[in-house]
Amino acid sequence: MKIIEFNGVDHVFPDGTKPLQNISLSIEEGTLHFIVGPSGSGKTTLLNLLLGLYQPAVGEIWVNKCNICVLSERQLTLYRQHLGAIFQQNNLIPHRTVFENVAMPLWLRGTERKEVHQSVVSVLSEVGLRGFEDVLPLHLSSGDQQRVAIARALITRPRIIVADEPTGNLDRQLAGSVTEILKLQTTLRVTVIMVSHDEELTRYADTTSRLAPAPNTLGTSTLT
Amino acid sequence: MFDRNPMPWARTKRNRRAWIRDHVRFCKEALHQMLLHVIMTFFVMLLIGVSIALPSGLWVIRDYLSYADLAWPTERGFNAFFHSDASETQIDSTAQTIRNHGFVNEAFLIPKSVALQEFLTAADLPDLTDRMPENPLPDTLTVFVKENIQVHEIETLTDFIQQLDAVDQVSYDTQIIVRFSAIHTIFNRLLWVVAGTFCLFALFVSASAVRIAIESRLQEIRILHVIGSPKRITRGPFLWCGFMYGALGGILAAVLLTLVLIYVEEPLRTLTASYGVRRDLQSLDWSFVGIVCAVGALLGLSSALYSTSRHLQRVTRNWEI
Repeated sequence: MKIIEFNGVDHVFPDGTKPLQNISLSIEEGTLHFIVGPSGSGKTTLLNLLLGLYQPAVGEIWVNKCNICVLSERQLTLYRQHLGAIFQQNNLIPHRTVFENVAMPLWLRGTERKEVHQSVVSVLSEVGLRGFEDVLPLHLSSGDQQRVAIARALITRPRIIVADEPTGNLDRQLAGSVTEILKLQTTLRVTVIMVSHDEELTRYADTTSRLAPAPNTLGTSTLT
Repeated sequence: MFDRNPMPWARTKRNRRAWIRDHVRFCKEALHQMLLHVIMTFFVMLLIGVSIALPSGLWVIRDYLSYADLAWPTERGFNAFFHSDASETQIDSTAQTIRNHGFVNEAFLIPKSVALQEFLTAADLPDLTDRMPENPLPDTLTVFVKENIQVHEIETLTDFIQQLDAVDQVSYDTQIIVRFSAIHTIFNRLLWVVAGTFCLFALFVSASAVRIAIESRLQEIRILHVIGSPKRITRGPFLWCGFMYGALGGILAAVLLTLVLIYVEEPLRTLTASYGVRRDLQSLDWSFVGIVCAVGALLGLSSALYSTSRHLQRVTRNWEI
């Protein structure tokens, strides 16, 4: 079943820059989909469109049979609560402990305290960080920080995880282990969309899309 | 193509306990933020406290002077002197007419014989009565008006009494009341101007402090936005921050006010006693402290509402991480 579909999406920034043009893309449920492309090709913009942080100038984005382009700001906020988001950096809140960072999406949902504790412990075990609950992110390595971000993305058991260069700051071995954690989620019918400029990692992908400069345009990309 | 659905997924229901937990967390976060910048917090509180204390102090003094103004004819009363040839029946019936007037609270008749006796006793001339051919003092009616009677109403009353046949003269100095009234009006106007100016000042100070708090937590706000935090939850700690700045500023204002009132109580009492009105300056009771704190909290909350709606929108619109 297709869980995400981009139909002829263009995006234009307020200053007139057009990073994406005529993007059409379908992603099946329970797959790891890679979006690769050179720096500045609009990979992050594509994810931001999927997160509802940007509105496309043209086209539609359908997620789980719903056109998210017509949702109100309030509905988009609720929609984002059902996604897991991981970024390359500035993922975590430095003055909050690992526990608090991971628990945050559950707080937004109003989950009971006991259930929050159980879920955090369980998800931290899943990413191999059990026992680090009271540690501040600053005291963790880059790889572990990224695991915390993954734990936060997983804690609500979302059906879609959006990861923007989650391995960008990591060495090859750590990048592989982080990608493996994400790949593992697809066995639970979770759809993972991962942006990377590292072609090596596409070996984990079920499907891959490449963003490349659109013909006869400057600074605009399209899918190839 | 997919069918059209209003939302991709069903909404998660939140219960009342979650709402309480949220606010406990906001409160803790706000306290943490304030303790993290304890010097700034103290100065913000101090500025808000001074901004609230000044108009509140003026209000208390105005209230006191306003009491003295109103209490003058109420507490001290005024005298109506009867003609020396007025008969006892005439005097009694005139006194009764005055007592029945709507503005009069009570009126006491002082017969001229009693007045003379009191005068001679006070002057230490007990034997002078025998040497006087007749009593030169008139019968007197001391009139106390009801509370909250205005100056022009007292003038109406004195005019009414003056026109009664048995009454020779009414002794009442309206100038004092007019002066008091003028001071009262000046104080009243000053109070509103000062209160308005200082409220704006307190709003500005608190809003700036909340803005600084927002700026220092930009990363957190942006992450919250991306993971789907509703506006209510994102701005919760900042609203609490503004609320606590205001409430603590209010408590500080109450302390300052108490100290200032202790300091000015004596000269104020001397001033009003010179007009024949005796009243202690009302000390700050819990209800007044409560009102001052509530005003502070309201100001803090309003400024935080303004600051968050203005700056959080800017932050989340340019949310790039």
